[in-house]
Amino acid sequence: MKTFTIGVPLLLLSPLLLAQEPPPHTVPIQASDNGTEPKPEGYRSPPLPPPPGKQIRKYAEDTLDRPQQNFGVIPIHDNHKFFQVLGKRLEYRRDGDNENTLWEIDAWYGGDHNKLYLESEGEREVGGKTESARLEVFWNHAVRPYWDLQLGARHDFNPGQSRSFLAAGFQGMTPYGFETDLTGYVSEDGDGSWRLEIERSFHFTQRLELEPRLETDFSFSDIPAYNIGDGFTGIELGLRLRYMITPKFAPYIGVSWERKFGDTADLIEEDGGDREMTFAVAGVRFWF
Amino acid sequence: MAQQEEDGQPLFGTRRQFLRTLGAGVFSTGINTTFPLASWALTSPKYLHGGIRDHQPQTYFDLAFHNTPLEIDGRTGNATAINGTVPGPLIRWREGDTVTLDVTNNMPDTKHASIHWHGILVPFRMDGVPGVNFNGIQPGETYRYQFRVKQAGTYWYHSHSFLQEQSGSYGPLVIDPKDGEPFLYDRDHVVVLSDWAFTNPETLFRNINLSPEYYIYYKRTVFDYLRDVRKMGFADANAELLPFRRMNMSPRDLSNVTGYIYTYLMNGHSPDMNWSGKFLPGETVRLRIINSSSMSNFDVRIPGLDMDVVMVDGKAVKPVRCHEFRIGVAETYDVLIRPRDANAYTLYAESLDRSGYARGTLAPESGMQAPIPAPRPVPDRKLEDIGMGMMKGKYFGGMSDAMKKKLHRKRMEMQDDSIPGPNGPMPFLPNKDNPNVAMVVMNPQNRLAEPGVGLGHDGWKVLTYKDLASAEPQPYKPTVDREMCINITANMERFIFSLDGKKFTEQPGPYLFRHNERLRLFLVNHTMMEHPMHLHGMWMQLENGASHNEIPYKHTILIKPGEALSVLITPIEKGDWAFHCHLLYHMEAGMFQVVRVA
Repeated sequence: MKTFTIGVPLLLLSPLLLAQEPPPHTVPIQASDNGTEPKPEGYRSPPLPPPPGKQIRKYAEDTLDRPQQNFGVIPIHDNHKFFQVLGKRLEYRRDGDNENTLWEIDAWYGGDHNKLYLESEGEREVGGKTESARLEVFWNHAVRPYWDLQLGARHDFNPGQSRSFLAAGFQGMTPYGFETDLTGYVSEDGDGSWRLEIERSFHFTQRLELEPRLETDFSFSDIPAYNIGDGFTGIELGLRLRYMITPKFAPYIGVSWERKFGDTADLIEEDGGDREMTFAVAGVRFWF
Repeated sequence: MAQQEEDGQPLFGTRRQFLRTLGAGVFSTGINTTFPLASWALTSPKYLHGGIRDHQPQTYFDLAFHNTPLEIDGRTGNATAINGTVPGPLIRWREGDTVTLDVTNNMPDTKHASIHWHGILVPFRMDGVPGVNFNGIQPGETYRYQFRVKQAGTYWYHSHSFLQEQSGSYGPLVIDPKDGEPFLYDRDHVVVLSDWAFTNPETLFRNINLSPEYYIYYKRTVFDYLRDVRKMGFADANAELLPFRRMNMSPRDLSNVTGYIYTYLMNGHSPDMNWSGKFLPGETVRLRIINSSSMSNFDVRIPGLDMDVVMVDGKAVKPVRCHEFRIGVAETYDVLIRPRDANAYTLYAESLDRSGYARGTLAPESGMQAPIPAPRPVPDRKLEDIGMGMMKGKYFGGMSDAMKKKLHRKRMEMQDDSIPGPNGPMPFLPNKDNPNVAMVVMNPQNRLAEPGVGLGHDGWKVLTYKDLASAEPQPYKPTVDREMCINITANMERFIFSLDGKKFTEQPGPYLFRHNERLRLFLVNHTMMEHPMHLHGMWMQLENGASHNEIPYKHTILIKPGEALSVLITPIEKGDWAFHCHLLYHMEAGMFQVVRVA
């Protein structure tokens, strides 16, 4: 009897009690929206009735280890591999009697997320010897919408001063469109340094663009043998006015101001070099 | 050309001389192999096209792909033409017939060819997408398509193999209803709009992959900025532009491939070749306008004439009078015009980015033409246009946590637990590490009543999706069994186009639709561009505010930037079906998915 008197009101109240149950705090996300929920091994298309609430099965299968293809054919080509040779700067520079040529050429092969990326840069006296040359080889991996992580190595072919480095950095675009390349290096002797390059182009017409450019180097150690002091070693500011004849071929003229700092500047002056130089430049940007 | 307009002289050229040497018989044969234009499209200044009345429905078609030289404006390009013409032959069926189509691939250098019957309800194996419905048609092989035609209206067909659509593998498809047309007219013309490039499509694809602005010659310049500063003031100009720059976007991301490289065609005719169709004053003329472009959305108008839109994507709608409409890639619009005077009218299709146009003439007699409208200026997108209105004037920092919470709460309030699936587009919570997603629209809007970027400021009526009310029977119940949301995402800088942040080859598997369920599918566009989203094998009924019995049928929906919309789908045929953006290079770059109906 007692059970009955408690039981009946409880039974009558139960819809009320259930209705007052607080709503769940966390809203379940769609099933396998990101494929992270744990799955039994070999999980494939179990015959399910639609689960209650917001849970739906969005994917018919979700453990495909290869792209969906029927009849042995992939319907589209979103993993197309491309190559590009990109001549960022190929220029003749002159500051008084000091004449030289400079190249900065990148080349890469790969897909959307991973690339084999080569960067080459160097200077050569007109009719003379190569003053400096470097080659960097990277694995480029897309880590953010606008950023690639670069991991690789660098080798300097400077006459009598060849050195190798491990290199790592980021290449990409900051907000407001600044093309940026920041790379840190550790040389074979254990010396650390980094380099930052920033470019941004402004269109004056559909074909005429102005590109300010900044490059700066920093060394963590004194390396007198290579004319490098610690701290900021130098800065290069450039301004290039480019005319795009085709997107693949754009000649330019401009100026480039270079300044060495601190011990680096002293070491270079001792060697007979200049602390500061202002070049008039003329060159071409190209790709194919 | 302006000269010729002034003195009203017809355009004489090599075409006319060629036609003179051509036998009269060429006009009566369905297919001709010597001339790159199909007979249904063939005109000249001396010959007005009378309409497609003479092209009777047939139940058998023999179609073949050939590498065909195509001459346009004195330049010769390489086409992957169907039966030797661009566009291909007019295919006309009758509703209820069982049709047979033998398609042969005579292009030895291809992996495969294929024909997809765009918008046609067919059994799974007849849909013609290599890698989804069959393995393609290998060189030298013939594939037999055979199915019963269950619908009527204006459609088109095209290749679904790599980039063949760009090089001319498309044509019109007209189906006569078995019970008579739902409206009266005296004459009908097929108007196929397309974009032709003399550049090899693979080169084009590579160029825009490596340099997304390769063909853009309407970039914003420093002078545009200074003009805005003068007009709007320094603060306002910056408030509008700098948030775009902060996101590394341009207000002029309007299209990837422009009139710089494209010659826009109307029935295979360049603007100078001027396709001309006949009408007699007082007639009601039906124009079956089909956008067979690879990458170009068009704004269509006929200065001086009202247009009554009576059919959209092959399905009848209640007539809507308008002066201009935007036709997304792969859409079809049937309009009725009633010219009363014996004047020439220009049929003008301006590309969305204003970089060019296709044009033709409608005239009672040959040799007439009307002025060509001046191109309108390139529009700039506003932050509101891309669902980023809240970003206006924000130069640094992201959305505040309070703002995110508020948006999330708003979205949660729209949830209805009675229907499985998210009720309303769930806030898309992106993985910030995902290189495929350059932009996430936190507050997508309903934009069905908006005509779209660059339209609606000319003082005339522009059609919107909101205006469409179906005039077809509604066989489906109003209740919804299940809901699903698909986010349209992209990173144009890397030329990655994706759905839910995943390229096709990164998707964990096909989407699951259940056979004969009533599914509400939400689409949210998180990109800067319009995407014509196409679903194979079933209709999408666009929930545009019309009553349940009048929601319009669509096979392709042009979704605007920052837009969220929903469609109702009843998957009637089991099997795998393609769902993709119909901009060819977006599809090839990953904006493609397989839908499994099981």
